Amino acid sequence: MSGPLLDQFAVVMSYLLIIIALLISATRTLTLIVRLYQAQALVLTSVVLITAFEPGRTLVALGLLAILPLTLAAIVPRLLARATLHATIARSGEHDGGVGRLRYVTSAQRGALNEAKRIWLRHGGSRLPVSLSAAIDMFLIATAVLAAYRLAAGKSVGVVAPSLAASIALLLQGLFTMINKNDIVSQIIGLLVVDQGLFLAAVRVAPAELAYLFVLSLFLYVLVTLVILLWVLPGLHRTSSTIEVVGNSTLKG
Amino acid sequence: MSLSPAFLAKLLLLLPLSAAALVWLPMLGRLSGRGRSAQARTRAPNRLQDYITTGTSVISTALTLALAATDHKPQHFPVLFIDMDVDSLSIYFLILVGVVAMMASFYIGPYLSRHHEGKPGRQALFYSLFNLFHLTMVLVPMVSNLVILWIGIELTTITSTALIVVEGTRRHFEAAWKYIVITSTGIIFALLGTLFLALAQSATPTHPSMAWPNLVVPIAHHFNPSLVRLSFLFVLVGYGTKAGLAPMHTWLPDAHGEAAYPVSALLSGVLLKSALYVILRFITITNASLGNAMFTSNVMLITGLISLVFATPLILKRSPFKRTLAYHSLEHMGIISVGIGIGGPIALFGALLHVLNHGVTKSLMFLAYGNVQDQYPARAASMAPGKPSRAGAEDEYVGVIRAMPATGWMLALGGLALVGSPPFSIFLSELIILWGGVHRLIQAPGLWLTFSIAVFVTSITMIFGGLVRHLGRMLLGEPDTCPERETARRIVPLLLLFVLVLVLGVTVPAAGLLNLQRLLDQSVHIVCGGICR
Repeated sequence: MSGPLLDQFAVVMSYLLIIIALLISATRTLTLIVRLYQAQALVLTSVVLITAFEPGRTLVALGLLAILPLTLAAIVPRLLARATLHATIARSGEHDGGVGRLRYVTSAQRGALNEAKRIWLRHGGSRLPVSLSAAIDMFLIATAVLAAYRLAAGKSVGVVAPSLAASIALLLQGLFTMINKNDIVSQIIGLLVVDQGLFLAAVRVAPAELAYLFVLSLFLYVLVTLVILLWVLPGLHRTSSTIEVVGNSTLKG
Repeated sequence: MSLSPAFLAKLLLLLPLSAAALVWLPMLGRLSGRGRSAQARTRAPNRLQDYITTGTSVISTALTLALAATDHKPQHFPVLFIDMDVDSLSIYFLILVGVVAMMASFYIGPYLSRHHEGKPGRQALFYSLFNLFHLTMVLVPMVSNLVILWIGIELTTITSTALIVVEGTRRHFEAAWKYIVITSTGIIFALLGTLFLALAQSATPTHPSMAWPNLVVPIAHHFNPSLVRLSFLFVLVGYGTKAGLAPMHTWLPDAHGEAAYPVSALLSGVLLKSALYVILRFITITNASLGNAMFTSNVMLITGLISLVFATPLILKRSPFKRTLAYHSLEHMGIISVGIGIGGPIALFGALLHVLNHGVTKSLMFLAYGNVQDQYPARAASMAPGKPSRAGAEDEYVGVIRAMPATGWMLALGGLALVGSPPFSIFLSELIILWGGVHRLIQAPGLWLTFSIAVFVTSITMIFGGLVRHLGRMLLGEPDTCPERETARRIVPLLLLFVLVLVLGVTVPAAGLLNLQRLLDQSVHIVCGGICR
């Protein structure tokens, strides 16, 4: 495929990311939200790979970058399942603390994902009705597109306008998901959607000469995400026994 | 071996990194301590870890002062593959990091002995994380690449989150959760803002750069102005979240309120300023690119005023004392932003001086209050089973001045300093900012600046009464219990901080070991970038 065709294909895939974010916002079941996140990560991986084959791009660096969303798509559901089960284990009291709790967690981990999926079916609701959520999402997307095209109008950066629009849209949609959803796992998915926007911007918007720097920063951002998923979220769920936001609001900001 | 500024700066990075590793060594020794009692085995590592951490922070402060005593010429040097650039502004922020980290380090040992006695693993982890946190805050003012700078700020988030989570209770996890999620989300805006700055360079004839020394030169005039403005707004939202500026401040009272008090001192005294340091670098770049300071001034002024307006009712309402102190951080970051927003050499001088003054005073308050929390058994009495819980009930200490005279007086005088009472340091910097504002008003009268100064004066006046009321309840009266005796270890650092608060309230040292006035003048010149009116 020629350069412009690849570019257009990548832009179409970028818009697909926005549509998936819209679905994440409108979906009411956590199981589906997590699946949609995985699909979004796979689409992002394909955008990164397509970009790597465009003329003037650093194939190796971008190819390496594709590993990040792919890895996250594979491990995030398992880590979320682990964190969710911590809340259930703490609430059920089916352990006697210490070694007993460890044994319970270990046995629970075997079927962790399936067990968590059953719990996720009961969560994923939003504060606002679906129609209003969708309307706000559409407004955010329109704002992002307008802002990006206005910024790029008649300037040398015009070629990146569609990707810039998609990045800003993902950022705003992710933030809205974080605010609108009732449970902490969905909030994390919102954060990961914001993360996808950042990935897209680093790969498609950053000048090619500086792309490696932004790639480096993305690795660190993944580290932050892992700190949340491996340490803070399970601890929070374990100590509060719930994944609902209202159950984790003893401190009042 | 030459003690060049670059070498000193490298040592500043190496020391806390080494200390973070060394504090684990005693844990190895524990494995071979079979013949000693369990208590002796627990105490010995704690003492060694304490010496390593306090020793490191004392030497770091000495090295920073040695760096400040040099001629302040910008230094460029690589560390591994990372380019570092140290100028007067960097040194000024390094001094703040050094002083506050040193004072806070003296309280880690006592804090861990009281709260985590018999848990050597957790103690080692705490010491190690504290040193890593120190390292990240030293790294930020030195790094020249804006993307690496972003990474440095993210590293401060990771280490400080770990320092909160290590306590392991529900409240700590919740505070850490809010902190890391809100600041990490905010910081994405900062990275996008940085990316927009990279994109703004597309029209320049040269290779795009992310090193701030390259972005403040005349080539910056070729940048795309719309993208530069958008970049600054994103950066301000991102780093502003981390700096605790309203309305992105909601993590601040939880994290500062729940963290161990030496960590709270660092979070409030230094971490917020690390984010502010990055904003200052972006202000210089944006001004250089746009050719004037109008845009950044207005944005900073609006942000500062919003923070002041948010902070006032929060401080006036009754909250647990540490949370009230955290709300004061919001107020003081607002004051600094207003000073930067007013602009001009006078107000900028005041704003930068306020950075140091607030850092030192707030550390004094957090550490003194930590003394009360650790040594005052009233908490248990006021939280008796069956007694209804209400806001602030968990720290209903009474008669602190009678029970713990030294700590009580430090809290009283530190509180007066914090609300801007003369003859203390914050009064001086607030006065300089106000003077800068009036000076600008005389030069160019305008409704917007008049309104801003009026809001600034009204807020700080109202806030004055708020903290005095809080402190009065805690400090006066008869203590209902007998706290433990105050030790020199817990008092001397407070006295040193108080001496600083007092000296900086009377003068800005212009001679001797630390020529603070010259350092500040040069920092103002750097932030102005030659276009200050």
